[in-house]
Amino acid sequence: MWSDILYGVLFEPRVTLRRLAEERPLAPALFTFLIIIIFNLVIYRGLILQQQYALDGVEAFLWLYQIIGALFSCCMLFVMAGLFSLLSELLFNKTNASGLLVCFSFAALPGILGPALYYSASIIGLPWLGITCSIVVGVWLLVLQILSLTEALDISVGQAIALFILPGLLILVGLVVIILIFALSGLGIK
Amino acid sequence: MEGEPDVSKKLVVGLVIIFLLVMGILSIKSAGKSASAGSGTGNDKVGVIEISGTLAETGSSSMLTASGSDAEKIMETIRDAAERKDIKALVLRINSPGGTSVAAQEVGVELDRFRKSGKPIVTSMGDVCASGGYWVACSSDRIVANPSTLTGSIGVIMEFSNLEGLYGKIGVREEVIKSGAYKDIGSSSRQLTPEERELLQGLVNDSYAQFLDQVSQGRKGKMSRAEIVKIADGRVISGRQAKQLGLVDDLGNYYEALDIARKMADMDKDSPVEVLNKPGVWDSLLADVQARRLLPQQNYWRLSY
Repeated sequence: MWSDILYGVLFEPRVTLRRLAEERPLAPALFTFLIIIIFNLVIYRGLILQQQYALDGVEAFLWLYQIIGALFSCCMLFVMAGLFSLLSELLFNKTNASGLLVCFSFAALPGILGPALYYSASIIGLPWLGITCSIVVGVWLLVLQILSLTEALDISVGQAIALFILPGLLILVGLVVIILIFALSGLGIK
Repeated sequence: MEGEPDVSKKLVVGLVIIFLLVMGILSIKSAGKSASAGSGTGNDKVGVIEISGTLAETGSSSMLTASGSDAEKIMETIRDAAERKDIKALVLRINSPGGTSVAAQEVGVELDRFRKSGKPIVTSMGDVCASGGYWVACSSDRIVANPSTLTGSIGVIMEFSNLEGLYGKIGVREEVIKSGAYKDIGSSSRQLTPEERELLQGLVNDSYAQFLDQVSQGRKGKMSRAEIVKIADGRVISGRQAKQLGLVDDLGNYYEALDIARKMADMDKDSPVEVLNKPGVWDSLLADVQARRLLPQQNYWRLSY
């Protein structure tokens, strides 16, 4: 079952994500996400220490930084599932928060490959290959997240992309408004 | 996801998992190596103990000394290093202006015990290695200083504040009931009596004599006691001056001290280095908090090197 999902997400993502959104295996999904987080934590630690980014002080805090980062990733998973489901309900009248949570969890699977490929490339002395792999995996993750939205919420790709960029767009607009308010008040215009 | 995954699917998933496991194991190993800060691959290591800031006993640190070195922790680290078979030599990286006399003595005694195990100790002086810091350095086999390191300051000091005038101005008068003439010696509400001064001077002189003994022992064959006494008046000197006078053996940096330690212990040139008292996450956090502590802990008088 798990190997089937793993293969499906990596090589047949659309069909697999639709099935996952319908079946909603929450526990395996969260377990998988946790495994990804823990594995990446270990790989990144090796990467940072191998490349000697870590000076004495940083090294002592590395675990702390990583654990905070892992907790943040877990929180973001729930926030994203909830937020996109809410926005979809408002815009398209379609909602599936738990299905999105499951899809997002499994859609993070290629994320386990990125750091591992980068690390293996740095070991064999080809850092450019590692960077290329990381970029490819990053794009792959993005595509899987869009597919998660289309399959879990049953919306078109265009709608999914619009939904995906909407939170960022809202933040951007908010920032522009705030800057404008400050700029105008600085000029004495009320 | 129709039925059981076929063999090729299982194979792909299996290969991915194996790849990830191999990378995970390599990463853990790499992190372990980096944590030991060594470049070499041998089993024998040079242990490094960092002594930074004011040297003091546990719990005796005040607001000013909270960011210093804890003598008990340093002693424990020296003992661990003596027991470890992979540690073949020790380098003390000292960057300390001194500390309490007892803390310096305790660390010195533990270093002498370490040397009895046959493993060499080399001191590498940082910005400052003076007074109590130099006391500790004297318990090593070889002392390496940078030319501009501040060292020396061989002497003992005991300080009191006489606030009699201030108390008089604000109307504070201390009432003292004591069992003996010297029980309130060093009281801030009055001047020292000539007898008290003489008594405390004797204490300082005795402690100073102990300091001279330690330096004489540490510089045996390199400096005579008379030569040491001549410069043991509390003066601070540079590393280069100290080399000329015989208070240090070599001029060089931390890496040269490591090389000397490796040579003395017949180790490979690239044998790894392990910092034995590297602060943990909580130590680093607490050190920062303690250094900014507003109220000093119990304040009592003591001898300082």
